Amino acid sequence: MNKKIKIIGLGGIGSYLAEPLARFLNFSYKDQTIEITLIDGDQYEEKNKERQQFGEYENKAKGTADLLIPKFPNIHFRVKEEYLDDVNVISNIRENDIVFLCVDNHATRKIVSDRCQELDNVTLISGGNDVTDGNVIFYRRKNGKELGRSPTALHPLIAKPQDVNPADLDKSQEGCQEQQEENPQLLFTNLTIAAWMCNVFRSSELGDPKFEQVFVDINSHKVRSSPEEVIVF
Amino acid sequence: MLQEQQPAVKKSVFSGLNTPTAAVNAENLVNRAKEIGNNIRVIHGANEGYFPVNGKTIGDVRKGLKDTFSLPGDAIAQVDGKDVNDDFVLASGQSLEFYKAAGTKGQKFVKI
Repeated sequence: MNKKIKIIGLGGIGSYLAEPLARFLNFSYKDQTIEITLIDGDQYEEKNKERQQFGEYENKAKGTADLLIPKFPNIHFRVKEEYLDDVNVISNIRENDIVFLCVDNHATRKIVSDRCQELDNVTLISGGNDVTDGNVIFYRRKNGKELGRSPTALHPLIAKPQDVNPADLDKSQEGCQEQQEENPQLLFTNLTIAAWMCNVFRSSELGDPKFEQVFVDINSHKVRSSPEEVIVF
Repeated sequence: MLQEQQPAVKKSVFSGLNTPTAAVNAENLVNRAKEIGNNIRVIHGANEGYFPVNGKTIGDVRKGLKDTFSLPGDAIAQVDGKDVNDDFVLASGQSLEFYKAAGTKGQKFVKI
């Protein structure tokens, strides 16, 4: 049985997710063919050094592949140096994919959520965080039926995003655009969400998890899954 | 057949629990349940708890739990599953959840 993994976004969260995930797959699934496609249109820059792990100042998907290929010979890595948009999402996310979504905007989350809802069989694990808290969304479709709610159904801001898809910004030719202040990010929160995406993946490999989301707060040191399990005595 | 009579035992709510510790723990549980019943469950992300905010508005709760619950100012409030605004007044037994999808850099681009 083959596994096709897509990691979308190799920045703050993705750069910490990729290696442990690849390590786990390389050594735990020796009898399967594992393919990991790394997808990102962005470049590593000097300012990323504070939070993200990378080698050269190059495209993030390529740079991550360059680091992982020598370490994990049982995995076939592919690289897509592009941002997701409404068009290329169809070729990038396909039936039976396991998608790890590590982006920093709701516009791309909507594109991915909508695409997953078109498929009969897919697993989507989407992570995101603010400064000291974040969440992981788990969405699976099996034989044409969804086992929980999609990201767009769970969050109105993903259903109707107010932010910009980097793919649209990249293609824009009209006038000049100026980037305003970004929300701050913390390395430990990125790392925590990346770890929980791996935990959710493990649960999803053992069966069909009943939760839709896992919330984490590194200030209060709490973790909560939702919906909560009802225990009948 | 001779049957031995058992001495009279003072019955309490916790009869049947055969250790003092178990009885105290059970009593604590009952008291805690009573406290929860009168309070309002508030949730934001990983954080949740029961608070005596009957008669308070959503806005009051938002201000009070801003730091403890890492509550962003634009988180949507829902009471018993329905969206409410900050003027909504809470009543005993209700459940309040603040939610916002995490994970945006908040980038805004303007034409110059």
